[in-house]
Amino acid sequence: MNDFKLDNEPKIRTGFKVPDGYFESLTNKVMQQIPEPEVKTIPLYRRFTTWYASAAAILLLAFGTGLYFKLGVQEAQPDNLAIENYLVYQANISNYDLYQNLDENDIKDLEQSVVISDDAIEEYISGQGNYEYYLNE
Amino acid sequence: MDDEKVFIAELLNPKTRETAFRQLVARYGKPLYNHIRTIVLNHDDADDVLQNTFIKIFRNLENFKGESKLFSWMYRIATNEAITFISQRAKKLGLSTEEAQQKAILNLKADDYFEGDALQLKLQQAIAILPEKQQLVFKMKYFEDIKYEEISEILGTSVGALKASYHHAVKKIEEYIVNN
Repeated sequence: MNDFKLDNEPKIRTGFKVPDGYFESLTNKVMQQIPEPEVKTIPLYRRFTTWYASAAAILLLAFGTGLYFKLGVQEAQPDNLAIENYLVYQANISNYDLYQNLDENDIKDLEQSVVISDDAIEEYISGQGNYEYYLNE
Repeated sequence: MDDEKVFIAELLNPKTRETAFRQLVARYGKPLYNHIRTIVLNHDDADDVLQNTFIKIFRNLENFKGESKLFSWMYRIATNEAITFISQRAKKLGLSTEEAQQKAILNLKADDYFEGDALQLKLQQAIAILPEKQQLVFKMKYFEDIKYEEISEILGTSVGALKASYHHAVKKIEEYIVNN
């Protein structure tokens, strides 16, 4: 094989064979695997479900609206105690925030409603380390 | 060419698609099989890859822009499918693609669907040591007799580069056959 030239030789074939009848059955085999064309269908039961759901929603809405007006439902207003408790337990509202929202009338109201006895004032001042400084002033 | 345009229109029309696709499988089944078989070597694998190729062609008909010929477009899909298949086969075996191909050639000896002699086996072994592009060009030109212009469209390589690849491939194969 010293002067082997592919072009000089008769063409070398691949040597591959296929089973008998392979190409004849190929078309059907392939056609069975191709995806069916997609047709959008809505099943009848689903169509009815949509109608039932719509009718139920309208009835519920009508009933609800009638009930609302008939009973005259009022918006519930929280009472003062509830507001006070809310403010006390709301950690992010500082005393400063409270002072800012009080006007003179509020202060007067507070002066009248909150009665502080002289003993209580004395006790408070004596508890403060530098009360002598204020006395001298 | 006009016939091809009509055929493509039939493939794209949902009403005529199935009949036209049947014709396409009947017309191109054999050449595409031969092309795939030269790459994957064994019949069962070629059969799987061919069917996947047709399914892919069917699914992508809408994307076929008609910029290249239908023939080149289908060959490109078949080539990609076959190359993906042999690299996956090699990966599964934990071998390089070349090693896996040499193994597949040795298996041909016991293959019911291979009737080649010693020279035909040696030719397959010689092809398997070439770089991938040279292998493809050689197989398409030598075994399948596809024109350079068409190979150029399928592989996206210039005709000049293809001729050079084929020339190199022939030299290396001749050397291999003389020395082995």
